[in-house]
Formats: sequence, structure tokens, C-alpha cells
Amino acid sequence: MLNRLKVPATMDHFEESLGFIEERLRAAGIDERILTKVLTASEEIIVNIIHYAYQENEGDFMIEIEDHPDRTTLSFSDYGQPFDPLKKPDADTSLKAHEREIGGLGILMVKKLMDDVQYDFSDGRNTLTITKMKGS
Amino acid sequence: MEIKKSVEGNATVLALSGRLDTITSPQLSKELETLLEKEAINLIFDLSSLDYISSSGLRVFLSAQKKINAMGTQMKIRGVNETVKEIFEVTGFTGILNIE
Repeated sequence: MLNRLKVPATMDHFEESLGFIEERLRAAGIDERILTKVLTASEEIIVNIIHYAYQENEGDFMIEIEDHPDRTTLSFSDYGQPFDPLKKPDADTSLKAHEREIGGLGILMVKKLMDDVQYDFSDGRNTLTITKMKGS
Repeated sequence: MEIKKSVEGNATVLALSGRLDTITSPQLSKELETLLEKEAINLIFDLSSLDYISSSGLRVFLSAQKKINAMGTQMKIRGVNETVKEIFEVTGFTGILNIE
């Protein structure tokens, strides 16, 4: 089974890329609750790549899915500017509505919903790898 | 996503179904803008048929809550499913929004 997708980093390919993940994980028989969490995290990552990785330029991003008996791992990579989303401090979730800022929520959701999140930059390529344990 | 609007006592109810994500959030945002610019109203969101919410959906709720606070009216969220509830919890939105 081919579990890799490469598409241009534009909003035109947003639904296609999320649909690809959903279809492959459903085919693998993943639990519905875990699927929703993985899709929620994936949406945040894909939107970030589309909006920020290449700025004004064009480029592709890649999704790779690995399904194991105990866990599901997805990696998202692009050749845009180096950006480690894990370096940003988490949004302060204890603030009141008027103090809350609009940014930083997406990556916070990724970290909270997944069991492991790793960033790597090598050979000009950003890769964010997320893992969800199936028992969690 | 579908938005069904109704009136319940002195509140406007918006029942959302489907996915509140990057693609559909602007639709809700626009609906709220139209609703809130006319008059100060009480708002109820019925999320019983909402499957999924992304950070763009959270931003729409945050912005609605800020407007409601400024107007001095009330906003309530009800019928939240387990997945959506978890998103509200991990992002600290349970402390900002009035979730039944």
C-alpha cells in the first residue's frame, strides 16, 4: 500500500491531503476516536505548512503514513524555510477571554492530542513527525 | 458544515453540524458578524451534531465570546461531544466559554 502523498502546498490541496490521511487510516481499521485526533492534528500541521512554509514561493509538501499494530505515525515534510514549531512557547491556557491571543493554538492542539511530536531539519527539509499510540 | 438558526426564549440558537475546520470556519464567522452587528443578543451554540473542531473553529468561538462580553449579553455552548470537549479542555477553552 502506498502511504505517501506529495502535493503542492496550496489550499487547493488541503482537502485532498486530509482526505488521503482519512482514507488510508480508515483502510487500516483505525479506531474512530483516534482517527479524529490524528485528523485534527494533521489539519493544524497542513494549514501551517500551506500558509507559512514557502511564503510567496511555490513548493510541495509530503505526507507519509506508517501504521503499526500499537501506533500510527505520520510525517509531514516540506523544503520551505526552516521552522521548528515545537520551539514556540505554548499558548497560555489559563488566561481569560480578553487576554487570550489568536495564535499558537494549532501547535498546542497537536502536542496535546498526540503522544509524541518530533521536529527534524536536515538536507533543507523540515519534517514534523507525530505519533499516536493506539491504546491511548 | 451546516448552520441552523432558531430562537429560544430571548436567545438566538445556532445549531452546527459537520466539521468546523479551516474551510468552514469563515462561514460561521460571517454568520456571527451579521448577527452581532444588528443588536445585542444572547447566543446559544448547539454542537450536538458537530463532529470536529479545529483551531480556526476555536478562534471563531473566542472572538464571539469577546464580542458577547463587550455587549454584556450571554453565550452558552451545549451538546458538546467527547472529542470536541477534549479539544476545549486541552486548549483551556473550558475556562473561557460557558460550556454546559
